[in-house]
Amino acid sequence: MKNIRFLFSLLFIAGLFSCSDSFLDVQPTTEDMESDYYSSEEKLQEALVAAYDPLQWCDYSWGQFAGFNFLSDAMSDDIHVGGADYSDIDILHLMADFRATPEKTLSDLWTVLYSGVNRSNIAINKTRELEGLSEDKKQPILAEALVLRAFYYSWLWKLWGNVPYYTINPSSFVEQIAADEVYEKVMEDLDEAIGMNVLAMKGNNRTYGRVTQAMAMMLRTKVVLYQKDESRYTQALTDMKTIIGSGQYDLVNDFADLWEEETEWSEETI
Amino acid sequence: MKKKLFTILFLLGTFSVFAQNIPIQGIVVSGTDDEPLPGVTIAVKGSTTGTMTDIEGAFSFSVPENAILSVSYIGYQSQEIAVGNRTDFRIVLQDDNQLLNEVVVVGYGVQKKSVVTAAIGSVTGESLSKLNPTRIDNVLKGQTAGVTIFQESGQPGAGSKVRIRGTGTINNSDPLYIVDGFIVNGGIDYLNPQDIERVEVLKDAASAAVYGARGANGVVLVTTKGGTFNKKTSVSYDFSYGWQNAWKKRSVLNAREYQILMNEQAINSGKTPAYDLSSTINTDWQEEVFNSNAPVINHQVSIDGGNDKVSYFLSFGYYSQDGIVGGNFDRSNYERWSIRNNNTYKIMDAKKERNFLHHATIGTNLSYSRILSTGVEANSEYGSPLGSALLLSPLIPVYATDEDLQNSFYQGLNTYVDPKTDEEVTKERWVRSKDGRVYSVPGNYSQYNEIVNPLAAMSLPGDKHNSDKFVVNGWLELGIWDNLKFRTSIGSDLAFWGNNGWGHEYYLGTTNHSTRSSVWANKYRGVTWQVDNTLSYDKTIEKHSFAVLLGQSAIKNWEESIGASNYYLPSNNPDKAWIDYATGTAADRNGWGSRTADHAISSLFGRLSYNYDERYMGEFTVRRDGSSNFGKNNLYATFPSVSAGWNIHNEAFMESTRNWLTMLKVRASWGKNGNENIDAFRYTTTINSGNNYPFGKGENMIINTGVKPNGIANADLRWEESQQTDIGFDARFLNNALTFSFDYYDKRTNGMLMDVPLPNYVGDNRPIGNVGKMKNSGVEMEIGYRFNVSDFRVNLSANATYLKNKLLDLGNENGWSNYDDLKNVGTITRAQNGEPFPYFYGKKTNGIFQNQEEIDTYTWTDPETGVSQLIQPNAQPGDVRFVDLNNDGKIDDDDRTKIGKGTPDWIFGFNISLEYKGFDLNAMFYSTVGNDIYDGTRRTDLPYVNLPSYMLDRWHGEGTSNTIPRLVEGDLNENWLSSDLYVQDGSFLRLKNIQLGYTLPDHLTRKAFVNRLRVYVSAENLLTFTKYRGFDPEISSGGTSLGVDRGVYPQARTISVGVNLSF
Repeated sequence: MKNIRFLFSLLFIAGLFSCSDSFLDVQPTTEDMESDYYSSEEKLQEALVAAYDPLQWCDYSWGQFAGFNFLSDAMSDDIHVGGADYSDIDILHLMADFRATPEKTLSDLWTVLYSGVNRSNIAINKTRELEGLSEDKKQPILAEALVLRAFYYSWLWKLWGNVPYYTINPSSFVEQIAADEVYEKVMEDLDEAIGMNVLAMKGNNRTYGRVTQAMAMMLRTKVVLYQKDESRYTQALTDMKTIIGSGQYDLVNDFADLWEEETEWSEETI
Repeated sequence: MKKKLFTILFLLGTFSVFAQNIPIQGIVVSGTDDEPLPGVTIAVKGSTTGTMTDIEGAFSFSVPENAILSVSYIGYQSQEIAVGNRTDFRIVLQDDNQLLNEVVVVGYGVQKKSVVTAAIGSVTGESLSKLNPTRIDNVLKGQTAGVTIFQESGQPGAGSKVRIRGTGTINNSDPLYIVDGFIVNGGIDYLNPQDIERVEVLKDAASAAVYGARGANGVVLVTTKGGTFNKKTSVSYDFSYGWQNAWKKRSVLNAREYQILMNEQAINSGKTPAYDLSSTINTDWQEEVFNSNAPVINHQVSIDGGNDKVSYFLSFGYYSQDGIVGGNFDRSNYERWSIRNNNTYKIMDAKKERNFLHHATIGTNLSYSRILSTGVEANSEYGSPLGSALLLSPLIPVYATDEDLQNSFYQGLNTYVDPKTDEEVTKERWVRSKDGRVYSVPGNYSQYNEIVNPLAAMSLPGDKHNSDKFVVNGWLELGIWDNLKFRTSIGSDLAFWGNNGWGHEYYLGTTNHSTRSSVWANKYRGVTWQVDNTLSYDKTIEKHSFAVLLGQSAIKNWEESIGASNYYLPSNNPDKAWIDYATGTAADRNGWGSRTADHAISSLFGRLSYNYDERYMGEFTVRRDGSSNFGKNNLYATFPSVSAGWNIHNEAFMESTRNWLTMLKVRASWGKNGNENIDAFRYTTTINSGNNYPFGKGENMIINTGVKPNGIANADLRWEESQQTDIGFDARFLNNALTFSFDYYDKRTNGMLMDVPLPNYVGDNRPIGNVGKMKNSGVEMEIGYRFNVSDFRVNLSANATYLKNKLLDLGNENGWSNYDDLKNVGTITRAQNGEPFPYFYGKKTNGIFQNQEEIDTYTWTDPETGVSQLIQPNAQPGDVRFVDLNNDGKIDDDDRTKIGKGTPDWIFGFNISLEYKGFDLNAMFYSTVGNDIYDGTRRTDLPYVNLPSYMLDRWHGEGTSNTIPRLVEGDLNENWLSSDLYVQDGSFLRLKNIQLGYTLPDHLTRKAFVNRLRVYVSAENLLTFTKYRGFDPEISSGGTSLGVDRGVYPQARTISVGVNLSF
């Protein structure tokens, strides 16, 4: 009798603990978890493509028109902001008058560029972390992602100067660093990417739109000249000669072709 | 031989002796004062032998062996006593009013009401049988303090939002619904209210603590009817038929008033008046839209009974309700069939033989309900039937005239490009009524955008919803030793629901038309299963009583869905509106399907209750839950609670008060509950596709797939936690005739889940974190008084709730957030730290400018420069004067402030019940005070819509109005941006329910084998007292739109007749 009672209580207590943690361990059904997703070259390519995605948002992201192609020239006399009057896209007018304020600035573009930074960081870090993939498969992805990151930061640096800088995506506040330091970091990324020498000098019908060696060199040169970093002038000259010397680039005959969809990706486009 | 014969004869003799009657005698006294009771009926159960007690309460008569005596007396509880070997009896009858032995359903068990230390509201079977509710929200409304019910609309099948002690969080504030011990997802609208035996509302932390992780918003415990052991089978049939009508129409302009005001508006805007007041058309759109005498029908058959081993309850119900808007078009209807079977089986009862494993009981609750329904848009200014009825000009006829149909506008509607062939076709797109007439299109007369002819809109085929729900559970209770019981139960909730619908080519308006037919269907399946095991033990040692409960619970649920759609039906035949009938190609067909991840909760809980001599009580509960919604860092959470009470009336020093004070209990409780009702996987990140980019040129261009994580993870994501303190007392006077109950509570929700405030440079979606805080506090009172006046039995009860809600911390960076807005009006609801959640937002007004001088003197002086400027330079006489709240010399968005809130301050319920001979009268009043309503029914962006009648009070000359501005197009002064002009007091008092019934006398009905026949007439929403000018002050959508009326579908005034029959 007593034994049976004891047995019952034991069974009951055992029953209490039989529900273990695995019962609560569920997996999503229509999505993949991030934790082990980036496990192959294909998946890293997908991360890289996501880093390109914000390039499509620059002009008109969440209702704020930025006119990305003409933006930098707004502060010169090459481009006139226009519009109906001063209150028509007032942030651009203020920028042109050197009167932008922290509240009245291209806030959407700021978010777009940092989205690009965020995605580039993912592509770079996941590629570096992946074990079991050979270096020669990793390098092309890394090169493209590094140039993209440099591109996004170069625009943040050009428009705002001292900006928060990070290579690992944050979940809390990040301090800003001085513009010159941002410049150095951008240079680091570009030097590494160009130094790998794995990017094609020019794309072809199937790859137009991707980062090329020529584009990376052009970007580096533009940034160097904007910074007026004389120590790199020779390197810049060499880069330009390499591009011209490759024979894959030339000027087009009709300037208007540069603005038409049919003649997109001509020999002049870097 | 002789001995044997003698033995046989003796035995035979004794058998015949056994067949004789035994004389018994005794006295019957009252349990309250020990006085003898005369006139008490004592009968032998199952026979006609019986007697009554005499003046001294004594009785004597003869009964057969093994007789069971049935003792009954009006006003006292009946008793059944087995005669056994006794011949002398002293029977003590307890007063019917004695509520001290009443039990209350608590989590995982029952508790004697006298020793309850937590705040629990009850709706008893007695109240429910008087209310006779056919809809779930009427079960709780006005019955117990602390519960607010918001109904989304008066549409049949419309959901109700129940809030226990205020809105606990900006996320999901719904309470936990438990039916017969099982958690039910998706609300309790599937339940046939006539199957409900009682409802307990667990309001404070201590009562809800045993449900831990899901108890932060309170718990609604529903117990359905069961059978009774040893009871003759009884069958009852209830029927009611009601006629529903709109209890109020909104006052809008008629044709003449409309023309006058439109002309005035034109003149004020510098245009020529358009109307010459000759129109004979005067359409009363509301009259056309409302469906009068819409029927609501309820049938219910219940059978219950039991012998000593089995008890059963079986019910069949049918409920059907047509809507007062759209019901006559089959577009707003609800039908429900329900079956329920609750059985209990005593499979082993060996209490007399042994103590170990002395009883085993099995119970089953099986229910099935099928619902078919259709619905119209119930609260929108963008084309809902009522919204449109308020806005369409009275000069527009319901049907287009033959002449109209020849004009280019109407003719043009029927010529369009057929998307299938890409060619222009001519095919009728007019919407016709059932009798073939063409409905008019508002666009022919003026600009109406989304506003359409409501009758035409309701004539289109719509979506049909269907639902089949099986809720089955079974339990086994084993009595192990003494009072040690083990109970295990398993339950499952299988829900299948979906919708299908179709459409054909039609034209209603510029934003509402179609050039092709379409057909679609969706099917969903939801599964929940739950397992509970509990071990309970209670023991009394001298004056110490304690009860222990240990338990374990696991629950898992998920949903699957699948759907498809197609286009181009060969003919507009509603019976053939299925996807296979459509002729669309692969490019036209679309399909989708999904399954949610499993949601699992696993828990351990324990409760210890103790009382000393029923004077000092204490209870401690703790529950540990793990939920799949949280990551490894915070998978489990523990929720403790403690409560204590003191039954002052049981103290020796209260001896002198015993004859008038039956109970005085003070109690207090404190505890923590949790809310885990968030989306899954927020603690980690999953991969989102759709971040694509094209590479290549021309034919070689490919859009490459890009993926990225869906945001930033917050691995430390935790449960929302609410901490609640409750102090209260319960008192009963005059032999329990007068009862009073009071509670004060303070509930804080910590760690409300919100997006963590991070700057945009993090470059991704914010993580969600436990960052917000909300506070709800208030006072609840319940009072009841029952008394008899000669042959009248009267029962009065009232409850009052005062609640104050404050958002302490929204948790985002600036402490506020704008929510709803109305077109051309701006933001209308908002949340901000330190204010109730949510509240109405807009400018404050200060009358109307009567003349130019008033405008010119409304100035502001710049303190720095000393220059004066007009605060409202664009104003003209007749425009609104706004208050420059921030004193910056201009009127703009910065002058907005809180202008009202939808949450009431006070909620009252008042019930009267009268019985006189065979008549009974029950009435329930319900009232809320202090709630405002934002009247968002106008479309200020369209200049020629109809206007509400209060616009007749507009300013049209000096001194003509100080409340409504002049009518003008363009509105340079922005008179109609969000301001207190839109906010009205929504306080109301409503006679929710009144019922007059008559039960035919027993002696008449017994002849037809009928145990009881009651006929009644009742009315719902018969009288309403309110200042609100809209359709219904009682309705408001919930969440961030609490209190916003956009032309909401009102509740109906229903007159019904009914019959209760039992055999």
